[in-house]
Amino acid sequence: MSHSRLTPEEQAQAELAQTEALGPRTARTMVLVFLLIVGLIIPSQWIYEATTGRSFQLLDLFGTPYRAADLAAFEDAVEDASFARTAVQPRLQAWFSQFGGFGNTKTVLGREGWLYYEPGVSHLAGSDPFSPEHLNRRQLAGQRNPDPRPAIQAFHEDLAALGIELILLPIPDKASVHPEFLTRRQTQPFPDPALQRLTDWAEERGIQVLSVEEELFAERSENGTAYLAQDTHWTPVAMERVARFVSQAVILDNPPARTWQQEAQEAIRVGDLVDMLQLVDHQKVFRPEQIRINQIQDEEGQPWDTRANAPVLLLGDSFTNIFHLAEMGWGESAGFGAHLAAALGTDLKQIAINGGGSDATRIELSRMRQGLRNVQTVVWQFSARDLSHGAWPVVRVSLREAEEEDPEETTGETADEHIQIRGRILIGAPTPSLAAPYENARGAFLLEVVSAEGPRHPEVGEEILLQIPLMVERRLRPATRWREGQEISIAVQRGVPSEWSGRELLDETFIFDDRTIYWGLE
Amino acid sequence: MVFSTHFFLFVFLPCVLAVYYLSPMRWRAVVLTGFSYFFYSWTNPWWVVLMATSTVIDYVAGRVIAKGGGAVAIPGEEPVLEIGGHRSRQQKIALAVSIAANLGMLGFFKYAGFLAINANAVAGFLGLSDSMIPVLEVALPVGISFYTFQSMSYTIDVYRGRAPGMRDFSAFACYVALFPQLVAGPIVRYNSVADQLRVRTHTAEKFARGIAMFSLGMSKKILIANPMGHIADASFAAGALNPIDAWYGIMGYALQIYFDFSAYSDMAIGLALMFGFVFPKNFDSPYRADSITDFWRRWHISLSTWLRDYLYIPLGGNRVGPSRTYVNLMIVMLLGGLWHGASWNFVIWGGIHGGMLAFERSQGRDSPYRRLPRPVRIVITFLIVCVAWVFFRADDLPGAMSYLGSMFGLSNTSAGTDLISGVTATPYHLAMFVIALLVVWTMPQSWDYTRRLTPRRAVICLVALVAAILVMWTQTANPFLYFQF
Repeated sequence: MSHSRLTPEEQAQAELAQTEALGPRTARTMVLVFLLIVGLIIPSQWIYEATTGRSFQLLDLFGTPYRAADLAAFEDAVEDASFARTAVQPRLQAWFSQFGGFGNTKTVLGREGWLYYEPGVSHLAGSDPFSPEHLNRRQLAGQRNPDPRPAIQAFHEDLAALGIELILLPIPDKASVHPEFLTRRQTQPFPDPALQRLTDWAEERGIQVLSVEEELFAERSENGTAYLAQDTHWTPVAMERVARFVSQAVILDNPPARTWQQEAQEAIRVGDLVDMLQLVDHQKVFRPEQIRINQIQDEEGQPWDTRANAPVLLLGDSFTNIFHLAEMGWGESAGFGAHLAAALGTDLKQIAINGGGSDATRIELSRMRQGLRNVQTVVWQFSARDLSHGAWPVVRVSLREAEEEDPEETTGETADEHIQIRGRILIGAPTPSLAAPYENARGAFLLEVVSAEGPRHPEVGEEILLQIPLMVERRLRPATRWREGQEISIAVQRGVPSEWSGRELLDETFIFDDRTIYWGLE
Repeated sequence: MVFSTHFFLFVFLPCVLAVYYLSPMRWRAVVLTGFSYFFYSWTNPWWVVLMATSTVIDYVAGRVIAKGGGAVAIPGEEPVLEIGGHRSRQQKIALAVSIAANLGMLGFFKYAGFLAINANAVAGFLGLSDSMIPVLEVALPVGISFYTFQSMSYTIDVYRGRAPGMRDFSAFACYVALFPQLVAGPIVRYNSVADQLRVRTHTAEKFARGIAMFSLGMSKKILIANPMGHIADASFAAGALNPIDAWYGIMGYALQIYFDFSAYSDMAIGLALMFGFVFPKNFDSPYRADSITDFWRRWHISLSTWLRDYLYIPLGGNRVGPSRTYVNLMIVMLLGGLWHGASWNFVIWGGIHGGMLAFERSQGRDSPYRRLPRPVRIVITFLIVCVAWVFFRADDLPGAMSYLGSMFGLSNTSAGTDLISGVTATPYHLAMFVIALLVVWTMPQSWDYTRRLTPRRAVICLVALVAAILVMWTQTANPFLYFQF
């Protein structure tokens, strides 16, 4: 029977028997090399873990619930812990970046050392975020609250009921202000159509939207750049310009007068987009950028900080935190909030959470009983790309009666007493990505208290909110292995430490109402 | 669990190879079955219940059919039923139960929501809003489209007399669950592995050929398919595109789906060889096809032959006159499209191919098209296939039409449109795009390349594997496209 009349299966058998030029020695050598490649990684990983005092990652399988999501997380953890991967990935990524012009899923490489944040680019190049098709696709992908409009409307109504003015402050993406380093086809800055649609919609409903695109375009035109080359965010000069612009739109009734002074300082580091490439620590592909910031100080020379009873409340994300939050590496107390306060000549209260412009800041505000006390104007800063990618839950806010002094009300202060809690996890937190824009992240877990000891401890059976570090300097913490249904024992204190209050918050269930926040002590 | 991941390569595969080769020969099918169930349960532990149910039903149905009378004794082999012979009512019922059970499972998990949505749409159109059907949101078990077809082919072949019934349940369970081809094929006919389930050789040459196939598959997936996927994903996520970017994006997708799927098949065939099984190749340089008819001789061969043998031929094939032949082609391709997913997009994709198959048949062998130079025919075929891929890739029908509009310059682009080239046209992506085209149009298929496995080729394969592993460690997500089917 000729080959042409054989079934594919018969043909395969016949062809297999005709494997040519494969001598026994070649075959055995090939088998040996292959078995060494696939067989030695894990034993060498065990040796590495044993000699460095780390736990054996594979043994965690026995403590992992046999559920799809948990097993997938376990797989990721095994790969993340691999010393071979850790050794190879940064070096190979550096090679890709240097010679291939290729970043990763978060960082897009432009020309002349410029980097861009991929979600920002995809927002600008993508479809209308307000279109039914776009919203439907996001919902099918699992996003429960893709549409910003109900969230903005509800927030505006709640604030209006309290006599508080709302100002929306969307910050355009870098690629719309500086497209020229990303593609040669677009050399001039251009307005983001989504922002115009947002403005049209909001103005019909009496909601004020401040467009800062023209200010940033003017900054670029006058001074060459409005954004840092390697970072997602604006330059200090551009930020200060926007702060002055915004201050002209804020109208206050008899605000407390404050005098602020400035001190020039230097800051030097590589941008966050370089961090997202996860290169080796002493990489030479990208040189640090040096900038000058103006730290805002009070009359006594103390660096500016948020004030509880300020007439202006600023909700913001990393655009607000940059130059303010020390851990971002670009200085301290020189950020948007500080300069807005200085421009206004009054106090300002700030809730700024990296990555939380569309949701986390309002959620944090909603937990505060007196968060809106004395507030006349709320400036809600978020990133334009959040219109396409952010979560926009409807969060109701109000001014409630103050109870006993609650640490969470005074942003960043915690009670000193330690409480020992044993609790069952009802709702877990997602695992942060090592390629995330920020190197530190915290998570929120909903816990049912099984037992508790210590001063002002929660009651047995009470549901509490536990926040805890999930990622520190791009290293995952043990809490990332916690799963729903699991019982944990941990020491906690009430309130979130100040150094963590601005860091990214990973929160699976967005609305927590009247639950006390405890901070897990590792 | 995905083949091209750290966990599979360095944890699962070494474990299963070690336990398999340390086990006595008579236990190896059981070992392989156990590891295959573990492999499948990793994605969702509950899905193994479905697969086990399908296995038991088809095993019992196969036994009922095989023992139901009409068997022809073959010396040294299991008896088979007489081809074309009489079948008892019991045998017919057993076959019907097997087909109903498999199609029922497939229908429920894959099509129930789609049918309900469309029924509701019709009801709404007719003003029958009170008669709406609740739309269940059911997770689609990975691989169900493949193993149900594979399992059904067993009972059908036993009924037709083309294969003997399997006595050994563990061997049959191994056939259904065999992890190399479980979740994304190739669809392996029982007849082709029946003997191998009982007796198969394990030689260094076979294992080495398996390594070569696996290595080439791994490198195709990691080094080519994934970067092409990046181009395609960015292009399809964008709003309106200019024609160059749109064609670049769809060609990126064409390359992604080919390299992704053929890579999986290569790895599956390679893994099977490591365990002594010989599977047929599933692709034969499909983008070198010079007609759609030729394309379907080269693309997803195991599915197209399954549809031919179990659907097209029973419908009459091409023996029932031209008009009916065209109808049969259309039915097969529409259902083939629907097999890929419960969406009108897939039906349209199938319809385009069915229409082209019917058209080509109607033109005969002396059509003006056949007189064009072969390279021109190949390019035309490739472009038609790319247009059809738009429906395959787009999220929905409006998305597909929008993308087609971009391809033909009918979209309203904006200033942001041009930014997409900054993401998709990096030196790396452009280089991989060119390399992908060169591989597609100039290099031999993996199966053909490994037929002559010289030491030099062996080194190339292993180097490709190592390169793929290194790059794998820089990539975050790595699923195979055909897992969604």
